[in-house]
Amino acid sequence: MVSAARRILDRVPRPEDFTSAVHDERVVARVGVWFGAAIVILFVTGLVSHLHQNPVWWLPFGPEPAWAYRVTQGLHVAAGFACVPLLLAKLYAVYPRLFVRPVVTGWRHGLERASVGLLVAATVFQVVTGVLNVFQLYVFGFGFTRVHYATSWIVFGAVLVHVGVQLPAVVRGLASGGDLSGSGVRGGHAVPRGGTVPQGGADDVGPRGSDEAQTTRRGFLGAVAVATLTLTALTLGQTWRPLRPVALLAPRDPEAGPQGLAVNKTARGAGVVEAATDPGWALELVGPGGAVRLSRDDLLALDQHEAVLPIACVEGWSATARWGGVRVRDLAALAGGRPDDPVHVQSLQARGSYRESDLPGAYVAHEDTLLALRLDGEDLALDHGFPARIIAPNRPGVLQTKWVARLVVGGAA
Amino acid sequence: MNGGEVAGGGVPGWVRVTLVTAGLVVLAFGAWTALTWVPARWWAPWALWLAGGVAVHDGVLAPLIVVLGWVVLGRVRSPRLREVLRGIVLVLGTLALVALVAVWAGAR
Ligand code: HEM
Repeated sequence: MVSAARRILDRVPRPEDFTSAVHDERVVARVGVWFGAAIVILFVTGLVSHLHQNPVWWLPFGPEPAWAYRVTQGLHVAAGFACVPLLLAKLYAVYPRLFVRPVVTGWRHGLERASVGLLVAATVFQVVTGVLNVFQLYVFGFGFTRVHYATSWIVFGAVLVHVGVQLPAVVRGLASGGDLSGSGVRGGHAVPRGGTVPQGGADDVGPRGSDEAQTTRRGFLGAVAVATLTLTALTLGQTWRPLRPVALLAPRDPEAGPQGLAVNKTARGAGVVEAATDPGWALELVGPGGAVRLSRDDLLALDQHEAVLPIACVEGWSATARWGGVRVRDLAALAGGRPDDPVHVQSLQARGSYRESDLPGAYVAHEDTLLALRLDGEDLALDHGFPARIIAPNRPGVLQTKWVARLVVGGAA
Repeated sequence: MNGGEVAGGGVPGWVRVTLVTAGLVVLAFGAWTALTWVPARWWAPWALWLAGGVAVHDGVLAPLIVVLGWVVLGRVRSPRLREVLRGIVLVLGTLALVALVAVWAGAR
């Protein structure tokens, strides 16, 4: 048994078997800094999205600036795509460290390796499921948002531990040779290097300390940069119009849909076709002054207002449109509330996590927060929320509730 | 906490201790979030994807790339050509991975 295991272990490569000049502390440190920057952006913008959907009193968001969520979430998904090449490059550069011997030298080394294992698992997970999610491939067997949120804390914590452990190597890697030349320190991943480095063979050729090795490292870093920028350029068009013509790999075309605007959840998918097209539909408006029912014609007879606002999906695409309808603050007043009372919104949808949303008082008070009835001068298409939907500045698309059935003003039951 | 260095690099020890400690606190919050915010019935598929991702990367994707480098780059004599080939594989490989997901999404 033991000897069989030993024989298998002997066949497994050792760090020294990977002789490419890419597996070098300086490469690892540089890619690490880029990847780390992307993770900080992801963590911060992700928290912004989380706090929009799960508000806390000590850090409330307001409706201004109107474009803020569009930018933070567009950045989130862009940084997410950038992580595909960055993560792959980082893992490739440190891959030899997977094979260090002895496998574990003690509890400290064991913990260190475990923390790296957690870091790799969590980042790979986040990138793979994140990309699948923005392509609407919900194939996970779990709900994306909650698991993604919990994993983001694990990613961030594991990164902090990792940077703490590896900081001397990072400093060394960044300091030694801005020119990436020389033989440098290799691998350096917390584990003392064993033995000398054979030259040539394995996954690359050429001596590590030569000009050739420098070219190899330069070339690798350059290629990582090109891959990252190219992928960004080919996907960012889903939120940034100038790049739309080259958005070849973007998950969504924000202008493909009824009335030139993309749709995430269709009326059919939400199971509301019948209720939403019922000519007897009327908005139930509940407030301190009691309850009233307003038909679409009643609503159209009220003061109409137009607002040019982005619809910014949590999945990273966004587009601007001209919405027309009734200001929510006018409706709040009509229900006997104040124009800055919070408003609870309920959809015709019977199920689904996004059938309800809350408009905080600051949003209700904003002149561009509408119960929209029209889009670009036409009646709202069914898939855009006909007969009436919420549209407000600086708000995730999932909270722009469609097919509104009921508005409850100021916490009135 | 001492003000000296922990294992060199010119980095003060307290910086590293702070980073690791902060990381452990954040990880603990992550564990608490996993238990309280993620429904228990999702834990198993979550763990499966966590482990599966590493397994597929370390066991399939990375070896494939290493062997590709060994088989192809090992035969190319010109260092310049080698760098160009490596760059092409890296850039097109990344784009191909995302394109594959796009095709999958389009097929559904
Ligand atoms: C690797 C580090 C990452 C971190 C730390 C991170 C963090 C976060 C956080 C904290 C949220 C908020 C979740 C919530 O609302 O509760 C979020 C949302 C989101 N992230 Fe990430 N993320 C990462 C990577 C990615 C990647 C690679 C993608 C895809 C390309 C992605 C796509 C998304 C999407 C689509 C949402 C919105 C989910 C929703 O509200 O339904 N993330 N992220």
